[in-house]
Amino acid sequence: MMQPEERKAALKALKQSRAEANKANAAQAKQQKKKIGLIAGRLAQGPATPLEIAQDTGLSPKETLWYLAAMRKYGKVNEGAKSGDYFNYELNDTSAEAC
Amino acid sequence: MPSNETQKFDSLVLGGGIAGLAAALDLADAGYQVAVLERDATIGGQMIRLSKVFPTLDCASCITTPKMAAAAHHPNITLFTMCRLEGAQRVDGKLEARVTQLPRYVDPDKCIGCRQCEYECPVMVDDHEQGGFTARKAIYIPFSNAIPQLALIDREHCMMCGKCSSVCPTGAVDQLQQEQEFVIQAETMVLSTGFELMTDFPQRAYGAPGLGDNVISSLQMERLLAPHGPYMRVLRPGDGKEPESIAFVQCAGSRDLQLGKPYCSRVCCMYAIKQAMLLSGALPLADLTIYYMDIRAFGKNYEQFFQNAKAMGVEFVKAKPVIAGNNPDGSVVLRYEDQEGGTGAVSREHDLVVMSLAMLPAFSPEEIVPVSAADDGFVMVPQPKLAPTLTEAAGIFTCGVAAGPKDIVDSIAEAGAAALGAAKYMAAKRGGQAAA
Repeated sequence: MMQPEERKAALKALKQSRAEANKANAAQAKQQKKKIGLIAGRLAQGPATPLEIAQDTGLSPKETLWYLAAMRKYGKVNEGAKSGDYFNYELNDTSAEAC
Repeated sequence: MPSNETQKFDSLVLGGGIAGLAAALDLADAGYQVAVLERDATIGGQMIRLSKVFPTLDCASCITTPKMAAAAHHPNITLFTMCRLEGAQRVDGKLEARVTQLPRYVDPDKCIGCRQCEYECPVMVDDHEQGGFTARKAIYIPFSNAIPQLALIDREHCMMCGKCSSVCPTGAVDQLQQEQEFVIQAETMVLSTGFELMTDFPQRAYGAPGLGDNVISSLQMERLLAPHGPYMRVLRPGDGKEPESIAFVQCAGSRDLQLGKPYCSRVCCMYAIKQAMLLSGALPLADLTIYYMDIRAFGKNYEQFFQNAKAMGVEFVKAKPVIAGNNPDGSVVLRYEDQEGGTGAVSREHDLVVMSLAMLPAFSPEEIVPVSAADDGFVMVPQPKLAPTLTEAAGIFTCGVAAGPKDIVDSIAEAGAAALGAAKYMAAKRGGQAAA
């Protein structure tokens, strides 16, 4: 059983040994947060289909749907009414960036 | 976490899918101590990831979850998840299995499965439990009815920001966890290692380069059809369109000597029919087409199931199509020779195409257990007609798809046979020892 000080030192060493990977993952998370922000920003203007969101944000339709599904899973967006062959999505609340 | 000491059981079941769980429960109910070794973070295998099962259209989760819970709570069964079997051999009449427990980076004794860590984690990763159509987090619980209901960290994608640790109410996050090796000793072993689908889409046969966003595998379609699927309805993954025309391409990879998979995967005809029937309920206006080489409806009530699908309006086209391209609107162009109509080469467009991909063995026994693989890669069964669960090694049995493609009904029947074989082996050995 490690003592708290030993544990702290071991964790620090682990972070150092994984510095490159952690940095790359952090950069990825930052990009993801930015894209979620774009989608949330578009939805703040009103419900939209994945195609409309993709068009307005510059993301691909596939990527937009991936984020919408994830945001829905974590409670940030809801499915709205159908519009033609597509469903609209709308913000569940104003804290979508926390997703 | 397992201790470093040798843990003794009567039987070791390798694989915690439906076949392995059925075999383990049969042995445990007969009074034997059973260890179930699972490489995944949860038991349940492929079946817990399905929507419904043919031909009854029962909910797969409703059948599998009670078996998972029964195994988890059985006093004679010990579950080992996230474990890799390194090797097994007989030593002094007992099988000794060397096992590596992979780290969850979460203390299983402290985690209460509240998922606060998952909600707080800022890193999103493709959720393969949902066909890759949505995201999970870098710390996550695989799915809502996973057993055990414990979080794990995907170290590859974790950025070690510490948010999970800061919100965990029990202090369960442990980034310092390491792999741990231990030994399981047992008299018998049951190999129930299941299958995976061909992951490298047979591009040479079905189109290159890349099949497009709206060509998916049959297991991905299972997730689209599941009540808790990625979109909670059937949508086209390329853009979210509700598909109006869906095609199934049968024998994609299997029954193909050129691709090195000459065998029939046996369940694809029936699950494609099942999926088409479920789709006709979910999308009543959609056109559903199954492109087949020949329909193999071999089990009890299967032929009636096939006839029902035809009566419901599912179109069956005898053809082996190729994917000829993708249109700008996301639809997929299939091209095939019209064998029954005699109109030559035909092109048709579909919003979504489902490939019924070949089943491959999920585990290669060679150099790990004293059992060899057959030419098709599945576990060698020397007497497939008379004793389909016996392997080449005394005391080692197999069941389910480990020995070759088969459906759930046959897998469970084999599980019972494997459990009985193991029990008989142990009884004979112990009877012999008592007599001596």
